[in-house]
Amino acid sequence: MPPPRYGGMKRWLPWLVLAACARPPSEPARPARVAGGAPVVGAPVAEPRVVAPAADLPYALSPLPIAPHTIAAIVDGSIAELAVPADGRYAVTLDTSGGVLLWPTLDGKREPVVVATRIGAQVATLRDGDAIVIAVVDKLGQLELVRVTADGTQVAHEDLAVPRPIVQLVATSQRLVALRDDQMVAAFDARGALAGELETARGERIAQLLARNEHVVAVSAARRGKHTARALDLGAASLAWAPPSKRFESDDDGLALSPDGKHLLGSISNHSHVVKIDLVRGTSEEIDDSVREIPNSQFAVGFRDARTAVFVEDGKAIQRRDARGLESIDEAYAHGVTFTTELAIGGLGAPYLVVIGDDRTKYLGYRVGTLADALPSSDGGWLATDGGSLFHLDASLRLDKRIKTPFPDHPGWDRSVTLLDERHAIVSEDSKRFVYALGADRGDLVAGKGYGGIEIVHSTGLALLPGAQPTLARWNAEKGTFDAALDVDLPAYTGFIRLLDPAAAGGMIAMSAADDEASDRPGKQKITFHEVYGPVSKPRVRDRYEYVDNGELFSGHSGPNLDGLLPAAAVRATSTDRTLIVELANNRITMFDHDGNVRWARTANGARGLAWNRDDDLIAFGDGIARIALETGEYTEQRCGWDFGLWDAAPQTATNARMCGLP
Amino acid sequence: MRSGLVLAIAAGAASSAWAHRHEFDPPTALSLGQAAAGGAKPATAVPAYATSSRIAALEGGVLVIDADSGWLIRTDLAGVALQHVAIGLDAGTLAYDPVRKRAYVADRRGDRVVVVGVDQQLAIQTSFPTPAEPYGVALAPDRKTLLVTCIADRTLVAFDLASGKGTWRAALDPEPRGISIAGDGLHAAVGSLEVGAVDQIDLANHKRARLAVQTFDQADQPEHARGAFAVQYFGDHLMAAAMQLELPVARRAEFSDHYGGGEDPPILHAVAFVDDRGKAATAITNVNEPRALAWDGAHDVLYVAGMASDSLVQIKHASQVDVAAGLTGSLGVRCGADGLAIAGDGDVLVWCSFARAVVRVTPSASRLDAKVGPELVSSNLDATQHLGMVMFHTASSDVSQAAGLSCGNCHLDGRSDGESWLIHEERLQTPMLAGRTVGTAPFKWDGGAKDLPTSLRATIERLGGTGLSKKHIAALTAYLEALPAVRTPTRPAAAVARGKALFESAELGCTSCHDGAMRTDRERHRFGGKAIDTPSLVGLAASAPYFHDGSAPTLDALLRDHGTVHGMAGDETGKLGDEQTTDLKAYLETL
Repeated sequence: MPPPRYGGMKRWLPWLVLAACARPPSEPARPARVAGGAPVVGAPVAEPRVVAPAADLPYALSPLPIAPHTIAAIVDGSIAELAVPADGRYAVTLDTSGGVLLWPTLDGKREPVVVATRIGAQVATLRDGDAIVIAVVDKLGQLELVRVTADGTQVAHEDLAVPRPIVQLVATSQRLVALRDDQMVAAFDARGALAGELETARGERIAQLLARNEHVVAVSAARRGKHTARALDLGAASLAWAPPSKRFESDDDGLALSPDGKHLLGSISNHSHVVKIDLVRGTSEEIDDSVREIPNSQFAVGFRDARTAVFVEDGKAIQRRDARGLESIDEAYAHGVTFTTELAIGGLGAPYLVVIGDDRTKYLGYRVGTLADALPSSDGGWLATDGGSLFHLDASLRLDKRIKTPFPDHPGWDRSVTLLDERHAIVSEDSKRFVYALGADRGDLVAGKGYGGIEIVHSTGLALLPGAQPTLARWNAEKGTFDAALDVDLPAYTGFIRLLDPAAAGGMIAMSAADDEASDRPGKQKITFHEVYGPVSKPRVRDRYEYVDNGELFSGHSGPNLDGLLPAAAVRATSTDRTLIVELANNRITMFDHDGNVRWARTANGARGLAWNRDDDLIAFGDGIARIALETGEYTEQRCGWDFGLWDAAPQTATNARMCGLP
Repeated sequence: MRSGLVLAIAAGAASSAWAHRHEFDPPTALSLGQAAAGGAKPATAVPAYATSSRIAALEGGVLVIDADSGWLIRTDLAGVALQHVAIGLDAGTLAYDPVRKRAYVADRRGDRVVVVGVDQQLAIQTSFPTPAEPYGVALAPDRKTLLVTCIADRTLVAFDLASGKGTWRAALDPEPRGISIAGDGLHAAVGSLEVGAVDQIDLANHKRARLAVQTFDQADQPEHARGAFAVQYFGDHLMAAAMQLELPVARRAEFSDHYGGGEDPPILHAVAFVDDRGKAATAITNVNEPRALAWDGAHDVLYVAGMASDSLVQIKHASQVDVAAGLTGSLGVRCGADGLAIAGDGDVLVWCSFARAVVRVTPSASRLDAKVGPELVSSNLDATQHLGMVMFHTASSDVSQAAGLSCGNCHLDGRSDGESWLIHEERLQTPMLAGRTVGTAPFKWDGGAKDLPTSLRATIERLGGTGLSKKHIAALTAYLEALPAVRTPTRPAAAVARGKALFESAELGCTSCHDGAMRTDRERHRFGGKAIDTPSLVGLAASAPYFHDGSAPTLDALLRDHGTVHGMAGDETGKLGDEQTTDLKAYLETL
């Protein structure tokens, strides 16, 4: 059948849409479009009786799912928002990925727990009896309330239907106060019941809500850099505005309220000077020491008490007390702190909380974050390393003990550790590697000659010892030595050499490029695959390949891009009974049976390795640890972060809680 | 609560979050950078008819609705037209019931869903009246209920197909578009152009929840998701939306006159994954103006296509949301992809709205091979207007720096993205274009462009484009001037009449500036020390936020002058009672 052409059917039609829109007849002539076909109207049915949408009940609470269990976790990235009650006994944080954590205590005895909410943009908190109420505003300005016990167990989770998006949320000990995008202010009690609604005063536009103790103040922008402020009367029955303050000079952002609600700490001239603002007099008094106007150099932090203001000047934390003038204070204040009755709590931009009390600064967080390697230990636990230190995890994946090592004695140690087995590990110094037997004390050096590099495949005990005379060897865990080298003529290949997991590479163990066609030169590359089965001494050559360096296969590598060539890039681990093989590749974990059939495949963001123990427990590790259900691939237990406490020094933890998502 | 302290360390953290944004440019393997939202097993398949689309696979053919001509066209497997039936100009989407052999098609201007028998011939059987401007059409998995999104009335309406009667409605966010129903039939997802969320409707109690998508703030500045033309359910809980991410502030204020204040485009194109249990992840794609999604549940691959990119992207393991592997392939024609469907053999059917042709794409392990079908129907636009339409949806270096943006990125569907952008260190709202370009000169918020070509050239210069030829400027102008005004919502006639009287009253004085057919005196007036061009009020209901700086998010806020210091509306309208305000608002929304 020839293709029909319909171009000849063009014809002009009146502007149906204009009639439908009841546009005024005098609308200017609009260039016409050609209509290609009149609507053919079928026999319409009568206008159906339709139940009109019920209007959302303003501020109605509706239940949301309660998280079934809690997950202890480090923050995913760094803290973006911090909320603490006036007494500073606990904290709620929002990280840069929108995840919410409750830090149940600030004494280092209780780990933070994941609070299952939608992706958050703001948090506020208050108490309701023994319960902690966490209010989370998402990026759409929607509000949800989570009620948790002191250990982070969710007991209630509700959505609060706000008529317009919330742009700012603050809390006193009794009330949550929200500023909507239409400049309405609403207050709620700890149960989410509306406690009052109030319009912004005519002609004013609230730029910022500030709360401290029981005081809430709204700051409005006036003209020419001037502002006014009004206290919000949070009466039991309704809300009311206090009369406006006199106009004062201030920047639009970075304001803090004094404990008595009578002063603001802010800045002027685009953060060129810090000012103390008297809301009664309408004065802005410069309190910093700077004589020059350098924009973005001065930031208000807050009032420690009614007489003491803290700010940041040129990156340094400064305190000004009425009686004592300016003092330099701990730089930790520059992390953005919230002052409570006893403590200053900060940590914005960091993966830990800064807790300052009695002028002593402590850091609350994990000292171990991501794991570089993990092996099963004979007691049912796990030997693990974060790439620098070694530690033992118990069967429930908690930190059992740190393992003392002499590794820091190596002056050129690059903080890399390779686990050989439960009792042996390798550290590198410059380009050399040293094998240590791990002991109760600090461990003993057992192979200190300094191998030029070691790759090992745990499932086989095979090791590649490149050095000046590269060799393939088997690691003998009993003796703590590398046994006789397998007979592969590795010195003949001075190009790229790599040891592959036989399970992953179909029996291939090594590959190399011929030296006469070095891998960093364009042109043909020869790659040889060897294979080993059983305790043979001479691997046989399985395949030889030639590749052309065409900028795709070899791009970005000094040697062949093996990861792109082979599934060998996958991490594979075999169950103790050899019936299951699990593979980690491209951020996916796939479980195969011994016939190669896929049982399941799941995403595994953040996972770097896999390990089985002799009880056939399977874990994935990397940005945390997850125990995996063998039948379904579900994570059944997760942990991100070890060695939690209140430390004197800021923990230098690489943080990424990607394996500890919402329950 | 403590927030917003601008310190270097915090800014660094925000930058790192930006760096975590996952860019999906297959076939490079990448990771999401945040927890994947999917489960340990792929989601169960959802029937194709549960998701609205411009195109549907038939047994031995293809069914497509061409909005340009308003025709529903049936083709053979090669995309050659067999039959057609006229539905109505600017028709919306369709859902095809393969058992009853019926297609349900949204007649966007006719306010109805047309039921078309798809047997030996295409034959209109009946139609269902709908609220104003139906667009998204989806059939529940049990094929007993039809759901229709209606743009102007911001309503989801359900029809019982046994009786042909509407049974219930639910309110939707502004500018709703595509719809998809969960595999268990308990929820529906609706995309919106102006809200960074997917609306999820509980089909049992008709309540709506907004599921926010993952965005990535920069230096304390919020990024917004916009333009969710299409949504797709995976199984019962997880859904994807084709969206774009906008950062409406300048990265560097001193460069606020230029392309988002930096080198990177301020709009990126994304597929957002949202789970109704609280998880979310977002992947950046190379598909500009993403407009269509289709999920091949049998292979768990998601396909994405868009108006401004002539390519198809395949995302593997889609319902597990690891977004780590996939393919991209050329569509082989200046396509304007506006619909996707999966054929029975796993091929992908692409509706190319510019070429008005079906492209059949055959996926293999490493390639996507496209075969372009013949043109099915001529465009209703003349050649100049058509060229302008294609240019409007083209992200070339003529238009924007590094070919990062098209006109359609901000002016979604010729309308607006509901954003206020920092331009020349001032927040300025994206203006509505549809229906507002004739009889409204001068242009720009300060009235600085005497005519539309001048305004277009200024915008292109600000976006860092090298500039368009006279012919192309003329084509863009012709297309924009031919864009019809947006449909208005249904409002009670009596309230509209009372509101009109208020609007025209001397006491309020609205008509002293907003006069004439286009409701503008085309003059500049001073507010807050600035000279502002009187904007047209045509299509006001669809053009929030209000005032030149977008400081009033709603008409209520504008009329009551909540928190605005412009002193324009509030002095008089602020004195109105609630009923009068409601009446005035009703009238304004029908302009």
